[in-house]
Amino acid sequence: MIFKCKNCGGNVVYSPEKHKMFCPYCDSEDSEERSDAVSSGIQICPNCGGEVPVGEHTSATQCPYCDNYLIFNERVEGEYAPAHIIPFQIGKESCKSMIREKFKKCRFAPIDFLSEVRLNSMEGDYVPFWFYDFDTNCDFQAEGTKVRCWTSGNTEYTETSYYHVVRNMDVAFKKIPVDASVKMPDDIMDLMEPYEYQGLVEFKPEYMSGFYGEKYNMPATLVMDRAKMKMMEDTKEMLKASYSGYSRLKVERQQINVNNVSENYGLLPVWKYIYHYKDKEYPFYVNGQTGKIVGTAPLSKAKVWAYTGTLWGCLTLILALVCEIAGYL
Amino acid sequence: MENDFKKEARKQYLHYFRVWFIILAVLLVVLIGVKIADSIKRTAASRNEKQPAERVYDYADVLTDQEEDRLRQYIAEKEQEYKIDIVLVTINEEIESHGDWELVMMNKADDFYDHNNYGYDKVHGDGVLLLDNWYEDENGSQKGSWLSTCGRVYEYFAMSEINEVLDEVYYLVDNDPYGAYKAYVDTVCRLVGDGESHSVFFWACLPGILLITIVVAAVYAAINLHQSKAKDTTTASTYVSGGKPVMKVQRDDFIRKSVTKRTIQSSSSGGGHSSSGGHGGSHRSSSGVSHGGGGRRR
Repeated sequence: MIFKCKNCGGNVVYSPEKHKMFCPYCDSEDSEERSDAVSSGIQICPNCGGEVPVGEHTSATQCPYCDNYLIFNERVEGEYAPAHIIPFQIGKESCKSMIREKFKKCRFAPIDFLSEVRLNSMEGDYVPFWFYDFDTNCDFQAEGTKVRCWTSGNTEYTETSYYHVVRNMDVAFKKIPVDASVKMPDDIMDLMEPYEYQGLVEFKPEYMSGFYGEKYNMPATLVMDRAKMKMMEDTKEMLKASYSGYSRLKVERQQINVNNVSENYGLLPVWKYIYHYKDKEYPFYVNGQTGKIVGTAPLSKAKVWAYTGTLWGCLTLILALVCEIAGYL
Repeated sequence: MENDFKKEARKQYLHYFRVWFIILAVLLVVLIGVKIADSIKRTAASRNEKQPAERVYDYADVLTDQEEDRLRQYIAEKEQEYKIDIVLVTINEEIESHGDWELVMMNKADDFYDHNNYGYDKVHGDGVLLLDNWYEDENGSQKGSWLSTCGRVYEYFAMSEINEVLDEVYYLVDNDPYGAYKAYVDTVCRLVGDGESHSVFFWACLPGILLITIVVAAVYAAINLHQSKAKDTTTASTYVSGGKPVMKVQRDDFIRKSVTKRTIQSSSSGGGHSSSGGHGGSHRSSSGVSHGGGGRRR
């Protein structure tokens, strides 16, 4: 599908700044009209007939010939219909400013790293996620000790008290996210969290116009273990917080039972900037809702030597000149 | 496009170091100014007219007349070159009956310099005097030298320089007094030359400068190489409904307690040290003139 402007026929996209559909050709707002023109194949642009490179899991992309954003119906409907989506809240220009702000102090980054021409290559992706709900019960028993020391005269006393520690708690986890994309690195996607779920809305394909996207390419059963692991870690941490204050704890019983599990599918927004330097890729990911940035700036060895060397040379010369002048005074 | 990036890189580099380059340029101008001012001052230095022409007082009569004349001529040449007065006094006097050897020698040397108004640039100005005592009798030797420094020589000479002059003199004086006194003139002039070259201070500072700047450059590089990595900003309760678990049972039942005791051992310690430093043998003569100096028996 393509969203066309009723007024000018241009491609209407979703604007994160305006929070509505916007035609960049005639500046009309909410003027979109869905066009489901059928093409002879998924790789043929229904607008211009150009051949579009479409990945195995791509659900939205841009035609390289007419620049129209295409959304593939069969990958956002039926079994691949997302239940909800967080639409992009940060536009491309804001995202570029955030990256510039974060890395402006990286003195040794290559000169074109933050240049307009490189940052323009950034693209907005809707990443498929599975969201898991877990109803759990945690049963815990242990022997805890508390130690108290005091001194009287030249004698030091140590008092050790023993306690029977019992905890039983219910924890209801809602929407633990796990990415369902093979190409997105799991550790990076974990660092993108947390998303603010109050921004979660019912899925509409309009939100994808202007961006790239994927359908889920890892089934819910495959990635559930990652969600379970997160759930277990969080439960243990909360449990630990409930019995703080003991010097030592001997665990007698710790059981975490999952009473109920459910999952649903959604899309979360991520800006992606891939910088190429000396035959190596430096990927940067920005949470399209909160602006959290994950990535490490590349280093230009030439700049490291030039800047450090100049600083050293200037400082040495300045101190030497001061000493030389002081010798005359 | 590559050329544009290179141009931008140069622009950023110059902009970043502009303050450093300005400070360097200012210091260079100041240094040139100071060097010119120093050179003008030296050229224009006036001669003290109130001092006697004599430089060699051989009361102990250890030099021949020819040696005295040669020494006077040599001193005159060196004085012209180094702009300091160089005086030699030899005596053969019993001095210990007047007090401590070092104190009497110091006072005699300083007073001789002051009463004769020595000083190249002004009365009690730049100059040096070697007082050499040759007295010896059956009760023992009172042989030894005292070097009195004044003005610029006082500024340049620490105890190490004074001892260096005395060592050169003592090495020769018993067998070749003329050679020893000539060595006195040579050594004083060489050390004054070192002091005036200004590079002595510079070379003394250089290891410290290099150490400081290497450390600063290393810290600068480390700070700029460091990049804060993205952190996990979720908490254990981020995905928990209501923000916290529902605690159904939370009990801490006291079972028992035990007490142990231990005797504390005590200990104590203490200590300290002190140090001092300054110009070589700094003191004031009876005329109130600042002198440096030092001497010893031989």
